[in-house]
Amino acid sequence: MASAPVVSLAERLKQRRDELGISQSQAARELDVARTAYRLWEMEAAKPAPDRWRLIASWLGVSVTTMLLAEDLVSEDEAAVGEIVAFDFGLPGRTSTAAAGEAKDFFAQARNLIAEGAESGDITSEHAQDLTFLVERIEKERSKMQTSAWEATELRKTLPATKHAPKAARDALSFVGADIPEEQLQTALLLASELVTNSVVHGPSDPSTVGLVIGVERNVLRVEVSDGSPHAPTPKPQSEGGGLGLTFVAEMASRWGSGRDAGVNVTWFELDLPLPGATPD
Amino acid sequence: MEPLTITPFVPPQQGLRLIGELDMATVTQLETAFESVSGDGPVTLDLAQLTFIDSSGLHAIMDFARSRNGSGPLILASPSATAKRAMEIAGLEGQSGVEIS
Repeated sequence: MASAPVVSLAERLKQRRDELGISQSQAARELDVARTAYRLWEMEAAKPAPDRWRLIASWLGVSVTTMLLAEDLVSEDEAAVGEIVAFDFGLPGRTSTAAAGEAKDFFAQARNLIAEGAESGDITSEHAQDLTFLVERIEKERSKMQTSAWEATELRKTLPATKHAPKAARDALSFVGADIPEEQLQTALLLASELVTNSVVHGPSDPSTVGLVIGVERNVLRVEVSDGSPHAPTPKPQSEGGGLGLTFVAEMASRWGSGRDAGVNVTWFELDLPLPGATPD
Repeated sequence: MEPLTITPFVPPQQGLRLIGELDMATVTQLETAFESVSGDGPVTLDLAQLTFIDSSGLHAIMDFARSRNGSGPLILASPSATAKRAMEIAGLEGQSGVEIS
C-alpha cells in the first residue's frame, strides 16, 4: 500500500494554525497549555504529554493514530493495519464510556477501551492482545523520550509601574523558579529586573502598569515583560546605542526578542536550563 | 528587613558595606552614601552580602568611579558570580581606577 509521507507533529501544528489564521498564543489557549509549551512543540524542542494527545488530535482533525505516527511512536505498518484506528479516541461516534471515563491517563484509557471491545465482541481476544502489546510498547517508548523535565508552570502578574516593580518581579520569579539551579535563577533575576526597569522607565504613564509572564516548560525558562506603550519597542544593547540592561539580556539569555501584540509591547527572554538531575559540565 | 542597608567602614578605612538588594528602588540610597565618601586613598565597596545588583546599581558605581578621577582606586570586594559577570559585560572590570577582588 502506497502511503503519503509522514508529516511531523510540528509541521501539522503549524499548518493547522495557518489554516485557522491564529497566533501561537491563541493556539496554546485552544489546547489549554502554556504558550511556552506550545512554542516548544512547534520548534520540536519538546513533545506533548500523552494526556494531551486526544485533544491535539481532535484539534488537528486527525485520528490519534495519525498523531502517534507523526510523533514516530507507531510504524506506518502498524498504523495502516487500522486496528488502532478502530480504537481511536475522540473520533465522532467513538465516545466510549471507557475513554470518557475516570481514567485520566491516556494509556489507562486505551487499555479500558481494548478490554471493553473484547468483552462486547467488537474485536477478537487475539486482536485485543496485539493492541495491548502495542499500547505497552508505545507507553515504554514515550517514557524513554521524556526522561526528565522541570515542572511546568506559568505565572501572570500585572505590576504597578513604579520603582518597586523590578523587586516585585524578582520576588515572583524566585517563587516560580525556586527549584531551578542557582546560577540560572540568578541570571534570570538580573534579566527580568532589567526588562521591568526598562518598562517602568520607558513605558507610558497611563496606564502605568507592567505585565509579567513567567513560564517554565521542560528545560526552558521564559520571561515576558509588556507595557502599553503607544510606540513599537526598540530595545537595543549598548553595541547598537541602547542601554546596559538590554546588553545583559543580549549577552546572557539563550534567546530574546521583542514585538508588538494587540497594542502591547512585549520584550522577552528565554534561558535554557540543565535538565533536573543532569550533572553540570 | 530593609531591601538595602549601607554601613560605612570604621575610619581610617574608607568604604561601604552593602547588604541587601540594589536596583532602581534603592540606588538613591547608594548615591547619597557616596556623597559622604571623599578624599584620597582607596575606597572599598564590600559586596559580600549584596544579594542582587542590576544596571541601575552598576551605573551608580561606574559614575562614582569616574567621579573619583584618580584620587585612589575603587575596590569592589566579593561580588557574587552573577554580579561579577555583569561587571565584566558592563566593562567595569577594565575601567581605570576600578579593582574587582
